[in-house]
Amino acid sequence: MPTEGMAIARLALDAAMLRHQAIASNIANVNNPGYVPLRVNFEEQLASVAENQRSGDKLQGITPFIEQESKSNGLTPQVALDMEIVKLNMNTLHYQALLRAISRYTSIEGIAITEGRR
Amino acid sequence: MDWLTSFAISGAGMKVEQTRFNVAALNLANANAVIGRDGAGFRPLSVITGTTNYSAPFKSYMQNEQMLASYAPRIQGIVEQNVSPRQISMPGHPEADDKGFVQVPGVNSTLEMLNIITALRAYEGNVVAMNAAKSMAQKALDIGS
Repeated sequence: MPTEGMAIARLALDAAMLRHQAIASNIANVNNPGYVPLRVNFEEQLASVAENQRSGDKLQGITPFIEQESKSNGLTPQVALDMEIVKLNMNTLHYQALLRAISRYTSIEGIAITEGRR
Repeated sequence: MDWLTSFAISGAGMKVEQTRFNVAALNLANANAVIGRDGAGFRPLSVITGTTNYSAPFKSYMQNEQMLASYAPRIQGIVEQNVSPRQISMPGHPEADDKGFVQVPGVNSTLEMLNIITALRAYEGNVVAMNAAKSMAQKALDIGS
């Protein structure tokens, strides 16, 4: 069903916005001792969409949510300002790409509504 | 979910860094302010920051918001540093003791300069994040055009 593409794009937009807020929070707390960086859990959940391909509601239960970054090699994760700026730029581009895709999709629908006429 | 949260987070970050900068500048400005013989005078200050406490991982939109709100940086207090004043030999100064020494605040100017630079960089990072939020929100308004 074509609207599934829109539904997943909407979820991805929500995730990108949430990710922006997580990165903004990390940058805001860069000098704050004891702060544990935040991340967004979303792409991990999309794996189940492929698994549920045959069942009815593929996107059921998929919600982007914020979590604390986990320890790696027993080290407490710390905020690196430069890496956060890199992630911020990646996320902004990703968000704009999603918006472009949604715009294209709606313009295709517009062609269908006008029966191909301009 | 709305964009105001993003601006609020970056704004809180900027406020904290601004305070850090102000306190470092205040310490440097008072580095040579003589402390009177009665002990009245400036003591170097530090900023204590923190976030509100965080309990357990959350899993819905509303709770995402609450979690972000509890992670916004806050100024918990501005406290005096635990450093003793410096002694400077200035015989004849009205506040000098009987050996000719006056006391000035024990400001560590290297540390304060370092604090200023880190606060400035972190402030710039918050501005970048805020501008990114602005450009994303503006692009979102163009959907369908």
